[in-house]
Order: sequence, then structure tokens, then C-alpha cells
Amino acid sequence: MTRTAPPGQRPDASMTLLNTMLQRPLDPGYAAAADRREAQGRPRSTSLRSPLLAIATVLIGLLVGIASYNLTTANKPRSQARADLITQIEDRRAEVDSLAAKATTLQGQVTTLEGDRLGTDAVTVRNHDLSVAVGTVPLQGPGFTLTLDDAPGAGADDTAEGGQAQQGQVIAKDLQYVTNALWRAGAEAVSINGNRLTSTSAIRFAGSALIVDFRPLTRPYVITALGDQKGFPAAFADGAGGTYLSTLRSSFGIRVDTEVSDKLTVPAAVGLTTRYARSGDTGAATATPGATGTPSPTPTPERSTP
Amino acid sequence: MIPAIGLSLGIIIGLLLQPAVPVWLQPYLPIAVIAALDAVFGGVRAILDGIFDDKVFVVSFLSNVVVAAFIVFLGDKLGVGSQLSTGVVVVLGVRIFSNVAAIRRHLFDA
Repeated sequence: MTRTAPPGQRPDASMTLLNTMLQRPLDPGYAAAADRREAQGRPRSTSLRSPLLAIATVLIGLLVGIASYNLTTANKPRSQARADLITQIEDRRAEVDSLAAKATTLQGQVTTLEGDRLGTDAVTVRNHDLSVAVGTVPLQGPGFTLTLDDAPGAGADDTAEGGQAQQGQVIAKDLQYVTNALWRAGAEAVSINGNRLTSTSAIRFAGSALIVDFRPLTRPYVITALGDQKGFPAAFADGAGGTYLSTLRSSFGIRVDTEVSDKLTVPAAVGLTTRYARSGDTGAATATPGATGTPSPTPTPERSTP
Repeated sequence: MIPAIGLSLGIIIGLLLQPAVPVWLQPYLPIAVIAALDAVFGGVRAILDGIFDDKVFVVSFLSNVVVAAFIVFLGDKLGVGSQLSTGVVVVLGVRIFSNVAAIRRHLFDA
């Protein structure tokens, strides 16, 4: 069954908007003005030499010129702000580096002075042993370095977006696993790119950057591990760490270099602070003082911003 | 001839002076440029059709720019963002396209 359009109505009447746009795109004002002039006996078209037209064209040109200057990306305030932020970041990072170096020097002086002042009694010896374990003193000794780098052609430029690591990139989990395996194999001190790892260190991902103790790392990642046990490197290579590294190498193409050396240095940790345990719930502790003979509630470590 | 000279003079002045447009005005620039282009191509077609009128040209240019700016402003205030400006771009784009097609027919008979 076909429906014919009523007489006098176009079959495509429902598409008038499209038709007017496509068939009569010219301002109807032009035709109307031309008809009016013709009725008055003047030519259909006016001269192109009118001052009004000249002013209008200069205005249009000005608009286009201003827009093309202001809309190019180089002049946007956003890119200016971005450049400012980048300089700020670089300045602050340099500041952090110089302050960290200063802190390390001062810490070394403190340690030397302490060693001079304190004798060789048991407490001092214990203090020394503990500072080695905690990481407040630089250490030197035998060990090996692991150099991890992204697979060739992976993530050399910032192609990874949204914090998603590409296949061939070293991620925080790799470093975490490797350092844990190092501790398990008997390492006494570990540092990544000159950042000494302590019991409070964190290896994390921020965006596409690896961060150790809130300091961003740059490729390649050099892990220095000290350990004077016999066969410490072999213990690592035979253990879970070695297996993990060989998987990284064979499956993802991550470059891993191991170098055993007799004389390696690991710097002291920067920014170590003492944290005091504090009673978490004093109200409950005073309510039943010694009723069950238990000591004060389990101290919870204070969460402080590092 | 005079319109072409005026147009290039304006562009050169704009590029040389490099005036900084305030940030609140920047969203209106692209739409204003498209509206101006529409007026220009409409004017060229009218010249070729032999029905050019300077007053109509100036009024159509000014009203195009004002209406386009108003639509961007309205879309911003209504919270529909750039969707209203998309409508402006589509309508003006189609007009520019057909005007250029008409100019082409005039110039090349094809």
C-alpha cells in the first residue's frame, strides 16, 4: 500500500530543514535587497568600493588573525602554566637532592662524633650493629649489583598512558620482589639508584614513574646489595629472585645485568626519623588497670607522614 | 579588490600586533571565525551571482558573529557545554560548503 502525498505538498516535506540548508544556503537578504534595488531602477548589485565593506573586511581579517594567533597551542595559558610547573618541579627536585646530600654529610659527621665520644662498651657495639641494620650508616663491602632496564624499544619515550605499564617496562612489583628476594638471600644492605632501603622504605608506582621513598627513579635501575656471607650471590641466583629475573628476561625482554664486586658502597638512608609508639586506647587502659594482669594495650605505631 | 586588500590587511595587523585575548573570551573565538567565514563565502557567492549588497553583507557578518557568540554563551550557562556550539558549527559548516560549491560552479562551470 502506497501513500501519495496530498496535492500541493512535496513528498520530502519533512526534510525542509535539510532542503533549505542545502539548496538555499545564501542569505535570502541578498536576493531581497537585489529585487528592491531593481524595483527602484538601480543595478542589482552594489559596488564593492563602499567604505562599509572595507571596514567589515578589515574587521573579519582582524578576527581571523587574532584567532589564529590566540588559538595556536604555543600561546595558550595552559601550556605556559605547564612549563611553569615543570620548572617548579625541577627546582624543587634539585633542592631536595642538595638537602639530601647535606643530610647525608651531617649524618656522617654525627656518626663520626658518636664513635669518637663513645667508648667501646657493649652498648656502643650494639648501637653500631643496630645502625648497620637500620641503615643510618653508609656501608662498604663485598656484594653485587643488579642493573634492570626496560626492554629495548619499550617505554623509552612516554608512550605508556594512564599509569599503565607496557609489557617491557620495569614496574614497582619487579623491584619489590627482587629486593625482598635479596633480603631473603642474606643481604645486609640494599640500595636502589643510591637510595638506601630501610625497614620503612616503600617502592611504588606513580603514574609511569617508579618511586623509592618518594624520590622518583630514572632508568636504568641499579640495585646494590651488600652481603659478606659466602655464596651470597649464588644464594640469590638459585633462589626465587634468580628465577623471577630470568622470567623477566625471557618473557618480557627486560635487560638484567649482574656484576659481583668485592668493594661496593651503599649510602646511609636519608630522612630516617625515630617514631614513638603511643598507647592507642588510653581510656580502656585506665578502666581496667591491671585487672587481668595484662600490660598496657598493644602500642600502635604512629602514622606520621614521612 | 578592495575587500581582498582589507581582508589581508586585517589578518596582517592581527598577526603583527598579537593582541592577547582574555581567557573568558577565548571560547568565542573559533565560533566567531566560522561565522565570519560563512559571511565571507556568502558575500563572494553573492558577488558572483550579481546580487551583492554591502549592507546585507555587513549585517549578516555582525549578526552571525553575535548569534554564534550568544549560542556559545547560552550553552555554557545551560550546562550543555559545547553541544550547542556543535550545532552552530554543523549549520555554518554546511552553509560554507554549499556556498563554496556554488562559487566553484561559477568559476569553473563544473
